[in-house]
Amino acid sequence: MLSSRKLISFAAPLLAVLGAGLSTQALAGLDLYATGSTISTGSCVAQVLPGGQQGLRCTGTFYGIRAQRADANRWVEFGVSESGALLFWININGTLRTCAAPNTQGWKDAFVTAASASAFFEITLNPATGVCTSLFAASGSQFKAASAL
Amino acid sequence: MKGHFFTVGVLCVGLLAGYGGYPLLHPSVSLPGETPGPGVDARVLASCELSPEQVDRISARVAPAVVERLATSGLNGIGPDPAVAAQQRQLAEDTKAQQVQAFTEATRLVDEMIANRQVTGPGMSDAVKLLQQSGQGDRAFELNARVAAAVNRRELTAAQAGFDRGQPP
Repeated sequence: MLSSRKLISFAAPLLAVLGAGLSTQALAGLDLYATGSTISTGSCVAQVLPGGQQGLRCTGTFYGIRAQRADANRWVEFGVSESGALLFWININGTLRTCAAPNTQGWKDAFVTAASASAFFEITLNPATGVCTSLFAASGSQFKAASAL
Repeated sequence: MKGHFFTVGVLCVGLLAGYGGYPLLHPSVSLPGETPGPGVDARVLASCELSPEQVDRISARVAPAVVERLATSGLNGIGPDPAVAAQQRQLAEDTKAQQVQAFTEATRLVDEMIANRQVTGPGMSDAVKLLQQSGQGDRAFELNARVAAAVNRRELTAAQAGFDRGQPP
């Protein structure tokens, strides 16, 4: 039988470790998906492109798209081939959208950044022509799952 | 008196030495009828003419528009050559026509694959090759965009577009 003094001396370090663990989790750094922000979970909305044509603006993060639970078939891909093809694909709520980007160094760099597991992407495309018209990609800690760190 | 003779003598020797020594010290000054020495003679440069072979060689290295511009405006001392200008214009038009033909053929191949609902890697590769061979490799993405547009119009599934990684089984 443990005395109350011994119990306290045994439990105190255990609680301290647990407390430290909890506080570490609480201070893990900003997780954009965990904040409930919808920009990480993937979306495509209509946007007028420069020149007046009707386009689409798609945003998201790989982590947010995998973690969301609203659409089981949601996926996104940035494809780069040795022949210079740069292809974007996104499937949201049963609608597949895709575009091809010009084979320039700027587009290539942006595609490679967007394909990173810790990236947020914002791409505009012209669905009628199938051409990607702009891409912003940022690699940031807030976009990556803590479990993958 | 002797001093005067001496002074006049020194002056004469100096004049003779200067007269004889100047051409030796300035070899680039050539006299009429003499063979020019090494280096570029401006008069020769001003009257230079390019042989047809030289024109072809330059044309291969310079953009057709530039060659045509040079040929029509002329260089310093060289009048414009309408024959060369016409030749260059024709060359540029031929190249353009070949490029248009290659692009049309490439898009025809792609459109055929879209119509058959089967876009294949080798088929796309053939189409891209046509563009590369006609110096339009940078337009290859337009072929992929054609396929993408068909997908966006729902005329093709991802699998039919040659993309089978994103479809549920």
